[in-house]
Amino acid sequence: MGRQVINPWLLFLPAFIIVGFNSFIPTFYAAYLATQKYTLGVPSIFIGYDNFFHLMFDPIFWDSLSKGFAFVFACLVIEIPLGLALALALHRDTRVNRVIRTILSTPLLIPPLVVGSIWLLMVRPDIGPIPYILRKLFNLNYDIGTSPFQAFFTTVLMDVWHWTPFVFLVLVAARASIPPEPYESAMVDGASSWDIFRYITLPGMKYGIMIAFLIRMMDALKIFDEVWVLTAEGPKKATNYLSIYIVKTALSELDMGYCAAMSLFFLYIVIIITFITLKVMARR
Amino acid sequence: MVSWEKVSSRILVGLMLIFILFPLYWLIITSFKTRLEVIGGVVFLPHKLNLINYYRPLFEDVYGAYLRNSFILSIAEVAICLPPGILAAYAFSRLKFKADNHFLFWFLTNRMAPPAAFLIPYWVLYTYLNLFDTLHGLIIINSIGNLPFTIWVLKGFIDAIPREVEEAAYIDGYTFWQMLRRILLPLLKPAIAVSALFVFIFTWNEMLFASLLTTSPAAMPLTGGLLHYMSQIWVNWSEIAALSVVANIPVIIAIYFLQKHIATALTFGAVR
Repeated sequence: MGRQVINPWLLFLPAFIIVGFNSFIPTFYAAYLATQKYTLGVPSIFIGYDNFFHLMFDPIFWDSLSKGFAFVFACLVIEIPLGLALALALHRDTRVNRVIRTILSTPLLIPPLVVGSIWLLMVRPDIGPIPYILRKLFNLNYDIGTSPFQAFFTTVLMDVWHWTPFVFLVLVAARASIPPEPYESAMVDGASSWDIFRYITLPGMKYGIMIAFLIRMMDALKIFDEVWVLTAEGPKKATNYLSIYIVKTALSELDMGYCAAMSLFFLYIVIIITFITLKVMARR
Repeated sequence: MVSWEKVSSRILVGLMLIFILFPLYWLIITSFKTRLEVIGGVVFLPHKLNLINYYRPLFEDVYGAYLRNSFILSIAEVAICLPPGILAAYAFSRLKFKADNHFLFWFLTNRMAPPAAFLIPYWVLYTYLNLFDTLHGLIIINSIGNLPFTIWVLKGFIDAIPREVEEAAYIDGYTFWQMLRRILLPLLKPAIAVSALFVFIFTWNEMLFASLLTTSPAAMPLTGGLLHYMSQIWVNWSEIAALSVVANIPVIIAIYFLQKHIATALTFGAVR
């Protein structure tokens, strides 16, 4: 377009002011808080980089970061192949498939808090059907309140329930974007179904898989609501993911300076992953 | 001939349907059981359905007020996010200005940022600014993710509208605002409805700020109230199930309309 019909800044400014106020002020304020020894209710004292120093040598912080990445890894390892298999099983645009797709996508919009309460009802040892069935069939004691592994596993299971549909929908869209011609010529050449998958389907869906992978990674790293309801930090801090640790520290120790330092660190990690995601999207 | 691929994919889909639906079924039947039935042991088919769990918390307790707050909050959030979102989306889609791509990415990083990381500075700031425990405080903080979301989604929709439509309007002597009102907004109506519904759902679902930045029934939304209920010592699980079902009602309505757009919206237009 040759001439600009209206000053773009005028259109851009209202949104910029609202989001800018909302993000710059808290970010800079967090940077300021991070230099303070500030317990809620007590006047703050300037302590320079001590909070970051503390963070470097806080074993619980690094433990929580590695638990977080273990969670992300476990979720991705299950959700991506499962979502892919479902997408390939249901990619044809028939009436039945559309109905199944709608049913499978219900968990996506459910409030994360309710996802947590649903799984709490499912796995509580006194009232839940899962521990009940495992006890009856295998005489297995399933208790997320005492077993660190079971607590971790349950959060992964919950995330698989909640977000596999997302991977599935993204990959259905990716599968739909592959033109039919390569498949037709492969059929003519008599290629095996594994070859078709390996050399046509998978390369054609690469972009969709990348997007699903990166967005899932970011969201899984940030997970809070469901886990907070289900296990909080869990037995032996088995589900003490980063968001949980920050909020728990804020609530129990009211040490806002240290929490702000952790928040900034967390923010950097997520911004780096976001940046990679955008690079991938822009290359397309 | 029945190939094993077909059979195994049918089995997979069947198992997945059970895996997705059973927890939802369990939530719903739990909400119809009495407190004693729930504690008394695992029963897969309830004998009769009773509605007491829906009545008591909503009409005799404060949960009706929480529900009202959730509605006000979500509707106000839509009203706050859409007008600036539409204008900015138009600017990013159609106009060139300095560093426009950088600004667009900057908006998205705000959407992606972990809410828990923003909680701490907001918590301290809100106590200073007297925004703690107020609905407008929650409206402000929710816009940090929802406004960038609106911009990204609407930008995708505006990109898909051919430019000739607008150019014809300018040739007819329309000003920008006339064009916006008479040409663009009518064309964008479905897109605006979709983004409004998403913003409503995201705000409705938000829990972290809702539970930690409010304390009283005057401001706390349903998610916050439900969390506080669950952290009590003496808990009635069937009432929790009932309140969870109530919290799901807008979602069930929305999923019908949003089905086609979920993948696009949750990937910020990366997938169509």
